[in-house]
Amino acid sequence: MPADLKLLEFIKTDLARGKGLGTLQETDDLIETEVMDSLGIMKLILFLEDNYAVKISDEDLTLENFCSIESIHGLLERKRNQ
Amino acid sequence: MNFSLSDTQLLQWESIVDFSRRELNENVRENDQQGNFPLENWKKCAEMGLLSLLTPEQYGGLGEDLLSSALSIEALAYGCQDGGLVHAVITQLCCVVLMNLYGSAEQKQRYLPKLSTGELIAAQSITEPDAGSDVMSMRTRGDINGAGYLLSGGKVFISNGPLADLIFVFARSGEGKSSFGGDISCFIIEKHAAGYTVGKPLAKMGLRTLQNSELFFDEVHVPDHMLLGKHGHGMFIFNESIEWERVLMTAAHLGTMERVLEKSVSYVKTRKQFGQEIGKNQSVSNKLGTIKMNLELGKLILYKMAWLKDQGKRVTLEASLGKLFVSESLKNACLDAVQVHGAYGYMMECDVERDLRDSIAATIYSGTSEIQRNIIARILGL
Repeated sequence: MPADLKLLEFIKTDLARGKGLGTLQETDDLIETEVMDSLGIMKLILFLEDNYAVKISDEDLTLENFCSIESIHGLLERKRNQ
Repeated sequence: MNFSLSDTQLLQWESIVDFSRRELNENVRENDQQGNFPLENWKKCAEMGLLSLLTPEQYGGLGEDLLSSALSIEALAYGCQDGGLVHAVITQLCCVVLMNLYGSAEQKQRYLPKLSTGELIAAQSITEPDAGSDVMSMRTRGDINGAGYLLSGGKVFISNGPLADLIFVFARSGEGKSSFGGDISCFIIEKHAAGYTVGKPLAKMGLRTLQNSELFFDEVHVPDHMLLGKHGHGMFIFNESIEWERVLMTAAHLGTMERVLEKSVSYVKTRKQFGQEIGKNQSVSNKLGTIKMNLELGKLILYKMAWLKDQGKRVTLEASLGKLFVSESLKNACLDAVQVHGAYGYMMECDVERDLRDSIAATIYSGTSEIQRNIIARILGL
């Protein structure tokens, strides 16, 4: 399932902006590419909570949930279906 | 929108101001000059309940919300002239918050009651010589070793460090370069842990009654049950902690600013030059008008961020806005207070010179003003 366009837009134009990554793919590792630094993850959590009416808990804060656009989308889907 | 405070909050404010003025203001100047921590006053603060504001009732605390606690800290800093003691109290409260939010049931039972009575003094150790603003580049390591971890490295400038019975240590526990994915964890150690040593108290420009030092960890064994929260969650624990810290520090800065303003207003009403009160000169009164404006604006952002936290919201942006604005305003207010007091303001007996020295640190600790501006810019998408 393709990632939500709003989420894609946010990660590409905000978190990844100016990092010289060219085209960011949904499966690219956001940690290795340094898209996701310590403030970036906080910005992303705020973005998800503000735009998708979900609450990201401490339990959700795993590498697996945030390592790629695809995995973030998966987390979002699970949170929405809860 | 309701801007009123409850009767309980107002009563508590008055009670803490009375207590602080009555019990905490003796020998502040001498303790500042000698760098002495006022342990007796620390105990009085504990008896007053100031260390247990945020501790749940089941652990012997007052179980207050953050807004009420922030008001209490504002009252403390307004009444108490010892900025170092106020800082030490906030450091303890932040450790209580960490324990309450992330501690296991066993950890809470073991430590929260004693932290709340001040019997145990706590410190958070994060900063390293090469990891200040770039905190996540820390080198102190907590590597898995059998049924626990081995902690090795060093920290610097740690508030309450020389006195701490309990130390919350943030350390790198993964192999990756990033601050995410298991790289940073938070460990708890007790002061008698083998391999743990404390440097001498550091001499400082201000906040001299607050004790700061280096901490050294030479293969300190940390059993599994002394990990705080989950392995690899250190960055999130830190981010949460820093929001609480910025709220409470902002509250203290506003209390100090209000005290400095009142002292300055009182002085310029009585000091006469050229046949009139110096406060009648606009070059003087404008300074105090600006302090009042910043004080009231600062209270609005403080109460908003405390209220948001009480609603379970994240306040990354608000905490940076508030910390930046209020700490810079405090520094400017103290500088202006010295100026309007003239030569007297430059003398130690006036006390505003100490407030000025203390205030400089406010724009450095808990994230420098430059870093706050960077955070705000990043949140704006810049």
